[in-house]
Amino acid sequence: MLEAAINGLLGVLTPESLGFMALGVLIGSLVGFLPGIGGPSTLAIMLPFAMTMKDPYLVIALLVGMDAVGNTASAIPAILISVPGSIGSQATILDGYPLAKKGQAARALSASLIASLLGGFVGPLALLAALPILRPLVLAFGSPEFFVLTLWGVTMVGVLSGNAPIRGLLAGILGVLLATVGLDPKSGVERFAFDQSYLWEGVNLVIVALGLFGVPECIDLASRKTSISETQEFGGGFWEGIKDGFRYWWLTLRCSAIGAWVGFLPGLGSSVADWFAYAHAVQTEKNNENFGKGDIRGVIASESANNAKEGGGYIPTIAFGIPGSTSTALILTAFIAVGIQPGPDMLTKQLDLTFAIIWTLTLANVIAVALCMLLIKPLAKACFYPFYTVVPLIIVFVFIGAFAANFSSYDLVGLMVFSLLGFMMRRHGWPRPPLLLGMVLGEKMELYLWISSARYGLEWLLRPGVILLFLLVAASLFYPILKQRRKRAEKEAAVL
Amino acid sequence: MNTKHLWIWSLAGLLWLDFSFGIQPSQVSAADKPYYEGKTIKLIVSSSPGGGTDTAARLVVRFLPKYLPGNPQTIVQNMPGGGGTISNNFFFREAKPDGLTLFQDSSSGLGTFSRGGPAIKYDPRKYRPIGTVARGGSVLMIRKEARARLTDPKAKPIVVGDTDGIRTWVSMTVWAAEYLGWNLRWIYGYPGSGELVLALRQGEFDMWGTQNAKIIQGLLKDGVVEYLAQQDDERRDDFKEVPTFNELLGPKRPSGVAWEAYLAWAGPAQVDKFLVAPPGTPDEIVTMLRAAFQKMAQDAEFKDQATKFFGEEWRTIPGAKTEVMIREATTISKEAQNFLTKIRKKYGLPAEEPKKEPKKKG
Repeated sequence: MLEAAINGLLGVLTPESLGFMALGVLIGSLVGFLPGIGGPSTLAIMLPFAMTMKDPYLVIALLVGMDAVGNTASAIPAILISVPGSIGSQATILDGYPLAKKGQAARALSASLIASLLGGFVGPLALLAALPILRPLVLAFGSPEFFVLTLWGVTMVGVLSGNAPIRGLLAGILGVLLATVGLDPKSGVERFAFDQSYLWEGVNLVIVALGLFGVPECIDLASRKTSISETQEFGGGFWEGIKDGFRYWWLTLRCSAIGAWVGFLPGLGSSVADWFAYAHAVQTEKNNENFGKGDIRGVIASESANNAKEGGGYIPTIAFGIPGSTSTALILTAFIAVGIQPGPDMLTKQLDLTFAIIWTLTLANVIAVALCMLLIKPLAKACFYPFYTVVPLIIVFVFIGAFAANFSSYDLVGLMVFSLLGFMMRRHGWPRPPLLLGMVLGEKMELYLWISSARYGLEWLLRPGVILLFLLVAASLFYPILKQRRKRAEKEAAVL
Repeated sequence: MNTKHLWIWSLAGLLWLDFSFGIQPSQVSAADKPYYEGKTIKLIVSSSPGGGTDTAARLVVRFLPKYLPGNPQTIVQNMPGGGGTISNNFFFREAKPDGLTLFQDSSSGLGTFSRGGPAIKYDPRKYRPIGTVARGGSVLMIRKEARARLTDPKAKPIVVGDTDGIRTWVSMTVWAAEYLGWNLRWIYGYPGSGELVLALRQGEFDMWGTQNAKIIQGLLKDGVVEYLAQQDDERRDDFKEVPTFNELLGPKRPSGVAWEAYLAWAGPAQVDKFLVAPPGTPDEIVTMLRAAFQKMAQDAEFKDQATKFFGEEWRTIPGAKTEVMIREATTISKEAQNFLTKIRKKYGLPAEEPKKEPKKKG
């Protein structure tokens, strides 16, 4: 194995490989930074070019490098202007933007990058550690287990609802309902599509995220007539953020592990990892009352998870040749075209290439973080520009992002609809994150419940994996309540 | 940068967006330029990334532009779901007949059309076929430990897994249940072949069929499955040891309307991964696309890549023949249609009453 690791590293460290990796990192970072243009779309554009390459190491350097860093730069717009650069950074908004409003954008950005860096190490490490047990690991999760995992996600609605749990629940239900819009994937029957072909593919998550958060925050900014930052002190947040990244190493490690785990489950989707990690942080961290109001730990949790997820996503690809996400599906196509046969051979005959993937994931992250670090200070200053300078720019940024998602003018109409909804929700104190989470999980919930019931009837409820996961769901649901009660009891005892 | 400049830039950005909606690529072409010069072909794919249909599409976008006058750019848009209904409905209704939007579909789209129902708002017989990449027929497999239960009516039924219950290979399982007494039940709803392979390996279901030689060989090599039958009338070169379904049925093979219904369901498999232009595409554009497809089929690198993806057993079919095959595969008598509906309902598979005429385009 050591020989394969060294060969893999040598393959990655050639000047050509490093050049293609740098190119991949640059494109991946730019795409991550710009909302709307998803990583998979860019990979699809690069695919015909990658398929012409003869050297598999170059394909790995370019495509894996590009894929590895998509979520690193996406934290920048999420923190600065409340617009996620990619769907993997949605949860970063929850504490990132409030930190920017407090004048701590530089701190949030540098902490997010350190978390990304550490997450970017944990992902490949998880892949490495899992090598001997890859196949049983992937096979341990069937449709019933996936369904309970999505249920677990739903329990996070409480965590994301702040002090309005009922409204949070209703927003979550609305999200799940929105996920049902379109043609039913099983039968092709129209659901809430009103014979509009635009709605056949369902409501676009990118448009919803941009509308719910981007535009309402702009309106708020314009009505406050201030800069994004409510204070005018720039401070030394940059180094503080770096220290935060290391100070909360245990949280980073846990959330990275969650990210890697979500990544290797080929049925859960790429937009879930940051939410799972964020909810875990809120549920398990002490003094959690500031989450959602600008707690640096919220940024760290989300950003470490979304980067670690990329490493995990390669586990099913390597174990069985089954892609863990859309991105890995496209990379898999390029692999086959250049003669890499994903599957068991990657653990034996092609182990060098597996290690090349691991090294690329790691190195690409280091390059991307270094690149973004250079931009933090100038970008963070944008938070101190007056609203009349910033608002038009953000609006253009959001609208171009929405249009770039599908090059459809209908998306702009959708953006306006969800902007209005987001504005109304914000104004009347309805939590917006549960709606987004409901949308993310709704489709998967329906799919896995359908298959579980069709396959097992009610018997699936008795599967050991399901019972274990239900216990975890219950623990994550009741543990914070018990903790709160204990705290209250302690306080009362202290008063007495 | 002062505020005035920012506003000007913002306005410029919005104007750019406005122009982007208003100007279609076809409107800016000059008559003396090759038709595709400076243009982009959008290829809609009826499956998610990573499957056989998507792979065929990736090959097309890489090699077809090389042989089209003006060497256009290409973009791929995956539109999976509903056994091809989503993408077919969209393409049939929305694509302009200018050769700049093409569609990579699979036999499932034809099967779904033949099944009918209110969701079907397309008619594949009106498409302008460009060509087909066809693999060998599907091979039906069963998990090794489930084999003993196959014909035991008292045992737990063998579970067949599929995306939508209407794939062409599913016809083998239904006719085997009806005429060979196989003890089966069906579940469907899996998003794609990746999820199906994983679920088969997990033992979530026991029986599955695919045309993808690489997947079949991988499952066999790992000792997960054994063969049951293959769908083509003749044995595939790469699976010579697997009996055809015809051979398996032997004297129990039905005749008349029952067999006609089977062929109507299974038949589209021969069309496999076909590329089409929208209805109403002018002949000169179709001719250009068909000629490019044929040249692509002779490209040595294309052949090499296709073999890497599909194994040895694949071939291309020209557009004109594809057109005939699509017509044949979607032509079904009322009696056979009724038989299909009845037998699908009997085994709990999605079934619709005979279809009404789809809405006319435009």
